[in-house]
Amino acid sequence: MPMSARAEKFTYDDAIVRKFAFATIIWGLVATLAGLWVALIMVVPALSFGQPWLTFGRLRPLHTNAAIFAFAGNAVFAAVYYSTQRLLKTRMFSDGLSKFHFWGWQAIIVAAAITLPLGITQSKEYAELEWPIDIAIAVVWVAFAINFFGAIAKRRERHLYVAIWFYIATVITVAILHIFNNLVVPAGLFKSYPIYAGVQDAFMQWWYGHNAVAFFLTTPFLGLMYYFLPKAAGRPVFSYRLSILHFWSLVFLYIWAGPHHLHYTALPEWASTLGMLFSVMLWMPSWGGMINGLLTLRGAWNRVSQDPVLKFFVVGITFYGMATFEGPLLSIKSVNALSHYTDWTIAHVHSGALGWNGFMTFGMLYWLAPKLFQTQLWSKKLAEIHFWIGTLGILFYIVAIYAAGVTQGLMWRAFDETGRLAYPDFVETVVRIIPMYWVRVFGGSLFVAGVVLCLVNLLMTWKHRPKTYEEPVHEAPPLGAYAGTDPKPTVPAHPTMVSFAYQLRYFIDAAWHRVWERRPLKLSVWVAVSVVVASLFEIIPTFLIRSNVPTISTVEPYTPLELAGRDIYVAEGCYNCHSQMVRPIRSETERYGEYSKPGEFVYDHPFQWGSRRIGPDLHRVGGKYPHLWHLRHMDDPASTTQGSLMPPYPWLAQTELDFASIQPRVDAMAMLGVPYGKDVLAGQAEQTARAQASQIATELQQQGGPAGLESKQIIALIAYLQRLGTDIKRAPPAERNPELTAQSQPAGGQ
Amino acid sequence: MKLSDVMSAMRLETYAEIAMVLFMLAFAGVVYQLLRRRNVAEFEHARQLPLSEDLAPTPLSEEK
Repeated sequence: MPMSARAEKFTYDDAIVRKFAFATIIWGLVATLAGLWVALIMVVPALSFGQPWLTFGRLRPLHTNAAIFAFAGNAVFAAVYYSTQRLLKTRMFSDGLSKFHFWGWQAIIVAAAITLPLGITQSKEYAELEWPIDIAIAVVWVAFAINFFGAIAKRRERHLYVAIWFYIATVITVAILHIFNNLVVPAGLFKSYPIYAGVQDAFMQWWYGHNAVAFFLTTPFLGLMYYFLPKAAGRPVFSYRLSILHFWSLVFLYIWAGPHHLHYTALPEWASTLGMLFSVMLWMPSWGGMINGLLTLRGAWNRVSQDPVLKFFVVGITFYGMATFEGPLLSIKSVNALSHYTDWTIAHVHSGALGWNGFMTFGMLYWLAPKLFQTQLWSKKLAEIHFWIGTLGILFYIVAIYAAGVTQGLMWRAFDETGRLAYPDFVETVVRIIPMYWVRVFGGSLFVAGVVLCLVNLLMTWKHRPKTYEEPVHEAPPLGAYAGTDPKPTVPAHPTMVSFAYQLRYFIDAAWHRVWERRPLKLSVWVAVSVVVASLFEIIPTFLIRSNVPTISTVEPYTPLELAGRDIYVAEGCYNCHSQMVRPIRSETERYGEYSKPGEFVYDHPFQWGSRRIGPDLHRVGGKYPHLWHLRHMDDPASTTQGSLMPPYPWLAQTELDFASIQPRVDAMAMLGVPYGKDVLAGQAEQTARAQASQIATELQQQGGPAGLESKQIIALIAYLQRLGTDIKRAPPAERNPELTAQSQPAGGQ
Repeated sequence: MKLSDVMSAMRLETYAEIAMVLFMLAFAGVVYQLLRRRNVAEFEHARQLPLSEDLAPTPLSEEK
């Protein structure tokens, strides 16, 4: 019956794939150059030339966002648009949507490249972009989803190949993650506060952060692997069954693993144990996937030595295996106690990003180039060179940075024979690893050089394209009326069994699974359900069970001036190098002071715990130094701390603080339930801030500092830094102003 | 009475552990189905999909 249906003619849209492919390599160059630059200013801080937009704190988010969303993102879209059309035997749903997706995404990247150096940021890692851009991302993503699911709906191949499953998981999960981690209250066009605070904000952020790795950098690239590797190897995937197992285990397990980013922090113990457990379990499916990929090449290994595409894929898949072995290892608490906040994490992500995402992308681009430009690859030799210097670059990078991470981690926790810290000066542990930072610069340069070669190769191939591209016409019968309706199970008559048992057997015989594969809607719904259910089960207790975040009666909201200072701290990206989380580990309490408690962060919108200590932790910095020290330190860090890698921030003492913007900020915080007093709410925020500013300026002058700083940004920043972590040292509220106490005490208490 | 009071009173501290067990069970189910599965032909068809872009679509006559 259906086979007799008339065949339909159709063509594939390769123009959109060409666009995404070029965008991939161009942004790849931008992302890696930005990375090289931040690696360089780390060892030569003077290279920021006293310019705000050239500092590490502002450029590191630019590097990470460019690498993830511009380079890897465009690579994912190129892979999806090329393979989806062919696997489903249909053109994308709408050429218009394809174009909107492409140009919309590039516009977002440009907006990111402009706003991040300007210090416009939400300060959540990989979710730094401010709310107007976030809305644009959501719109473009929805357009992509419609285009993608529309193509599935009009497909001519009933069976959905496993690569499509991985894409489906990506489209759905990224949408959920993006929306829920970016729920904010705007306090202006370029400023917002997340609705979550402290522990909850951290929890949401790393639920997002970890799953961005899972569903933006892993699942779509696995889809890419399951399509392009068989194409390049000329043989089907080793085990289709294993690929399905790989898919479901990732969907089931990944979403739970986020809390491993927050071990030994103020996060509740159960959450972090759960995150560790699921992370360790993730090891199995990841290696199953790696083995599945490598075994696909069985019998074709001789071709690997001839073909740069296969070389890139083999090394890429191997890095997937290495990074996903290391991930579970790092999630084990005792390992994490050493590795967290060190460069070990940086080495880990770069083995994943450069080795897995980078090399899979390059392999795909070299494989695609002859097909997209309908001519031979310009130079196979150049691609080979790219492969070798790229591999060397990664090795130099990660070996040096692993060494740096372990060295610094061990130095932080070292005690001498008298029981005191062996390296009490933080900067000692920094100076020690600078040679390794130089090796990173070298390795990074090699990798960037490889990207340049790839760009040249693609451009030259493109130059040799035919005058007009051929557009082969394909033919296949439509699924027609049968799409979406499933044949009823036919139950053969059987005298000895009741029909219910037959139905059951039919179900157990996996008919349900075949039905799923053929009904993408159901598959999508189940992916969404498992992601949402896992997330809710993990997140709700942190939000709603009060014992998880005990309140502390002496913790009060930031004053308006301190809030403005905190916003400067956020805008400058201080969290990129400084944590605000003293872990309950002896070497940390010795070095920094009392460990951090969940109740101390209840007014922190957003949280500023950080993930890397290039400089020391700042949670207990309040009251540690006089105002003047901070002033001098911000003006020229080397003047107070010899060997410091921190760039100078001279403009903070010259730029006027925008006092007028303080009231809307306080109002936005009050909207989020931060209990500001009546005075401040009634439009007094600016006045309160000015009063505190002039007091601090006077104190500064008494300490020997210059006059006339009371209206500058530096005063607000000093106010914030001096307040940090001091609340728990104060006398209980009953002994102070009783009126303030009544307002600032959160309902309930312990 | 706020939602958080209700949630705290319900002592849902074990909520996450229960969910974990549920998930493991669901996952075990998926694995079980996958391994039991006898549709070798269909797997083989799917496996060949990327390689043979001109492969005839799954014939509907094969459907049960």
